[in-house]
Amino acid sequence: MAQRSLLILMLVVIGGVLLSMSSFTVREYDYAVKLRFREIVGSDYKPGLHFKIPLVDDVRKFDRRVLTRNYPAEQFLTSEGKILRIDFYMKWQIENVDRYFQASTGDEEVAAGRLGEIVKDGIKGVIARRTLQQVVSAERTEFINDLVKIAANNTAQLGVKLIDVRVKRIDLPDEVGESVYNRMRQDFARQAAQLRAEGSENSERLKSEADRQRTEILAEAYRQSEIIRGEGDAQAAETYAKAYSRNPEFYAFFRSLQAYRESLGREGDVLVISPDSEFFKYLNRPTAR
Amino acid sequence: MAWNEPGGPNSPDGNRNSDRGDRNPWGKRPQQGPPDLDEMVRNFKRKLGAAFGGGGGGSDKRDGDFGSGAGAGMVLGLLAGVWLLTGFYTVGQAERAVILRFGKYYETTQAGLKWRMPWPIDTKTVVNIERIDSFSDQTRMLTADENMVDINLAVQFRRNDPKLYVFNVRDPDATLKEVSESAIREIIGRSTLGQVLESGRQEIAARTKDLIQRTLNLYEVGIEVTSVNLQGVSVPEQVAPAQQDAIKAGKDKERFALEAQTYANDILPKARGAAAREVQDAQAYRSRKIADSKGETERFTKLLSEYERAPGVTRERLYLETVQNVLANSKKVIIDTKAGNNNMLYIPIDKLMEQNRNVVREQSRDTVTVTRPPTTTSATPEVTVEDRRTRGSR
Repeated sequence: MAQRSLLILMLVVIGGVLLSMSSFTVREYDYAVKLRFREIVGSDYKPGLHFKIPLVDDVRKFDRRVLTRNYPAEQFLTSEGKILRIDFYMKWQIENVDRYFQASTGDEEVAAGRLGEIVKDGIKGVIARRTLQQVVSAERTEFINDLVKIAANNTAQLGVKLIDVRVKRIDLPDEVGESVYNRMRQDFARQAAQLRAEGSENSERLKSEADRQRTEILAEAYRQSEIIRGEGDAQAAETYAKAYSRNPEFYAFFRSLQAYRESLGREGDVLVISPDSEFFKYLNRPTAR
Repeated sequence: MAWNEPGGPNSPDGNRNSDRGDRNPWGKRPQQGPPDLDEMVRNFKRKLGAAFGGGGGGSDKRDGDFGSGAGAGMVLGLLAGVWLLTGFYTVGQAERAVILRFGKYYETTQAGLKWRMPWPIDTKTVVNIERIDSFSDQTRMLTADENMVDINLAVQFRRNDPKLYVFNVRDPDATLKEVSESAIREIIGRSTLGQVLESGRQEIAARTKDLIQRTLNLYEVGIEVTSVNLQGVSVPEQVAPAQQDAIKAGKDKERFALEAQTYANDILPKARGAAAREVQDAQAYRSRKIADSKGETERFTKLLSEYERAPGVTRERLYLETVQNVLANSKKVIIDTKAGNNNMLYIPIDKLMEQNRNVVREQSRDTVTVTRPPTTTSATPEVTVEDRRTRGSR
């Protein structure tokens, strides 16, 4: 009995081993290539369990997902001859695993490296046709469309698909960087000077406007008040004229007396008078007339 | 040997709760929560038993003194049972477990205690879809007008689609970082320094978020960006003092305007006040003039009617009254011009004035008589200087 149970155990183990050797799983994010004596006999596997002949067939698996390749600090020349250090990455994916395996022997490094060379060349061309300013502010779509077009032919040969190329950083070389800082400083200084000048301009404008308004207000008030005074004068003149015209001779006399009273005989005045005036008539000769 | 390594060289990275523990049927699953404690204990006991059983089975071959067919069957059964039990797993409230059966997508399970076919048939990957992770990134970049600006970007995200997150992109979290870096650079690259520093912070963050999300959707990463913040936007420190000065200049400008406004606010009301006073003064003048004229003419008219009744007397009286009034208030020098025709007459006016002052002090009632110079032959003219204070008694 022991022997039999041992046999069962061994059969289970051997069966398990055989099963594992003659099957393989393809996951959702895998490509698989089945090789029979190094010849591709199957490559279009759906995710799930698949079978192979043990020892004869070999299965190679590749990533079906979107893959990334980073390129830090590559140098490029712009159309005006400025050197740029550009960090970029590319997103790519294996599209035709059959071709991919043949073109790169399934080595991701090799495939990505070749694709990278193509992309780098493409970027070089794209940047060489643009100024620094255009590179910096370029719409991504302009960039990638050119690149994909350039790369399309080659990517098909590699069995891969270029999904995206994006610039992560654009740096200027250090010596250029310093000149940028200088320019920025000058920019800010200019800005500051302009702001201050505008400030005085505004201030002057506001102040002079206020001054003008003040002058206008005062002038207008003067105009009005002169009119009013004139009215007063006119009315007074009319009143006087009406009254005085009743006896102009007496008015002249009366007004003269008034004027004498007002203007002569102030304190401290010294009058030098001839005694033969009307006033002194009786002073000289009490029996005058 | 394909399925011996479900993790494989291309396995998901550490961010995913990869199911490596299940590769070893002896191992305990680290994800197991407290509810499974009992089961774990039982499990452990069974495993212990199985180990001893297995060991026994091994020695059985040589010694044959332990076990039997039934024993071997029991061992197998036990092993199978333990194997099946390893299929239990728990999923947290915020988590989803993506189950692959022989590598093919089978299901996505929700929170709770679950069972799947044990390894190597099913494998699971757990993704937390609710937890919000974040990272921030500080970089210096070029603006559209070729200036440098330091940007500190903080991105918050969650992994909203577990299936895409697991299947679609290798290293999704790193992809998010790359995409964010590229997106902020692109947005800043299309803005001028002024826009970046002054107005656009919110807008730039919004546009960056939008661009990141669109790019992630293009790659189908299964990550949702919940927020993007520009935590810091500043010019490089080499330029900072100049920028500070520019900011100060802006403040100065405002201050100038304010000062000017203050000036205007000061002088205009004053001017309006002065204007009002001017008009009021004029009105007062008019009223006075009119009133004066009325009064004076009234007085004149009244006097005139009296005058017309007795013109001679009234005229005389008025004249004398006036002259009296005039003379009473003044010093007088009376010169008889008829007597000394054309003779030089010396009158020390200045002395008179001087004296006047002294006289005021002494309160004297002196009368100074000035004789004519000897050259004159006519009668001595009287020059009388009267102190004004004496006039009242005269």
